[in-house]
Amino acid sequence: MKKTLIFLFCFLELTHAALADRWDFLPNEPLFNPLIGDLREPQYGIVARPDQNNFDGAIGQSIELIQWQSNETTKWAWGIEGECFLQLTSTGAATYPLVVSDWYLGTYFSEKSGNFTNRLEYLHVSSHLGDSLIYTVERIIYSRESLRLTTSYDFSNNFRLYGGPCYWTHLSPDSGDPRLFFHAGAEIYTDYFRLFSGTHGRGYLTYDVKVLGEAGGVVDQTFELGLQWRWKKDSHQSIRMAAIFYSGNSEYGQFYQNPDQFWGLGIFFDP
Amino acid sequence: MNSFLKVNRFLLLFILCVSVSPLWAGPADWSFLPSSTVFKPLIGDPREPLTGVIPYLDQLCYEGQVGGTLEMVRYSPSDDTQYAWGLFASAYILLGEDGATFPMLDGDFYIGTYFSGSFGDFSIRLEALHESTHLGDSFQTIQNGTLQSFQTPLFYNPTVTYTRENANVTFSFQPTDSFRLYAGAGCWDLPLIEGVSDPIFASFGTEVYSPFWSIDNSAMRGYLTGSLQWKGDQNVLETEVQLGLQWKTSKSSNRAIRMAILYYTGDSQFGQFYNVPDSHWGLATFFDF
Repeated sequence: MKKTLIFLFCFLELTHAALADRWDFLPNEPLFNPLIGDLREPQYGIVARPDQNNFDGAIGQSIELIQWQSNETTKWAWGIEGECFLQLTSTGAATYPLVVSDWYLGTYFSEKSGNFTNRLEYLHVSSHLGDSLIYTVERIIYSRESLRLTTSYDFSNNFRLYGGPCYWTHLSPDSGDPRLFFHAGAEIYTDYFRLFSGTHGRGYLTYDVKVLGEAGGVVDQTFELGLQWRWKKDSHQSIRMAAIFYSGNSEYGQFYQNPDQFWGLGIFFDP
Repeated sequence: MNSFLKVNRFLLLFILCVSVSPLWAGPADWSFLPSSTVFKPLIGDPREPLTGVIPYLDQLCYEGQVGGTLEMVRYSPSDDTQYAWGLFASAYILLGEDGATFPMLDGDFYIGTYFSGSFGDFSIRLEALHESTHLGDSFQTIQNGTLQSFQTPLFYNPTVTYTRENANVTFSFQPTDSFRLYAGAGCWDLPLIEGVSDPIFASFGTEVYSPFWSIDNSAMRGYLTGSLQWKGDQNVLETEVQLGLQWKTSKSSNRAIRMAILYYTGDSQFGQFYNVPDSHWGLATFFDF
């Protein structure tokens, strides 16, 4: 705790001294645009899985604390993120017992130069079995930390590619599986079209893939086909509705060794 | 007709009136997904949808919360009033500490919708709110080869029907930037609270701010909040006091970082322990976005 406070104090002081008038505190928009095709990106959303009678909820966000401009073309940012992902199942009679909840807490640095943006994250995740399964499923103590580097390139406003290596710095349970894993994806957007009351919408298609060494080798793939709704084209807030297909192992830590494949209907709120 | 139904009908009528009142207002401006809310968040309320962490100073416990409010649509007539409708969601986690591990004790989830309005110094918010509570998996144990739990989750407890579905209303009065008073009331969902004698709850609170002082291009001020909540089903008064600093990009910005010392006393805010007394000091950091 003490070391962390000293680090933060030194970091802020150095940043402040070196960058004087070129910093922006609590900016309105993050430098690194969220990866909307990654279901584990900090976001608010609900995904219904009609073929499984399950519901996934996401509550979380990134908080960009500071941005600064180091030269004419390069900007940097530092922020934190926190999110909770939970899965509920329907047992009828308006009852939705909790199956599992995963909690993330992390920090990141990001950089933007022209069409390139980069983000280096340090993320802690813990996974907790839902209390509705407390008498029937034995929990595991699932706690992990990872370093994740993601490089993104915007070819245009309609097409984005991203990818990068990630490394588990801490694994519990530690099965001796490879710690290096990879994350990549693409986002494709249509042009904006007018919707009601002067608002704007655009279609989008995303593909997101994670290649992990755990559980004997896993490829987690997510496809989203949806509609993004904004008041103005340049506003950051949006609502997205999408059809989702996921295939791989469960992204919930308690079930990370179990195959998971589903179709879903999602609604997401990007603050 | 019992008193609860009377209150419930009054609330529904009130919500209906406030919801449709914009329809007979004058020329107006609509905006969608605005970046701020008409009803300013109650920063002293321990269950406002906010993001933050609270290490306890006198116990080996940590609270974490993530949450936010998304104002979907805002209606601004030309007469200095504003109306809005939005959604909110939040998640709260309570962790213990056991050496280098932090076992989960409880997780609560809130989701809801609201209508709000502002009329000069006054503002109002009407909420419909779902709350669920879940015992942490750290209570699971194995005895004689079978799974057990040190504590029975409320989900499995046939003697307790716990619900916190509710409708509530909060009135706020803020005559200056430095002072705010608010008060509210609500009622739990009747069909699920058989046996509960009093489904009404009420709240009262205040926010007091110092003048801003500048830190280069940003602004900082001190603040003191007090929050009182009375819950009829337990007949308990819950109190939280915060004394802290609020740091903003500019005086008018809605984004802020807050650090505060807080004191809480009452029954636990975490649903699994809703009837367990809880008093603690905390050192909180909040991120208001």
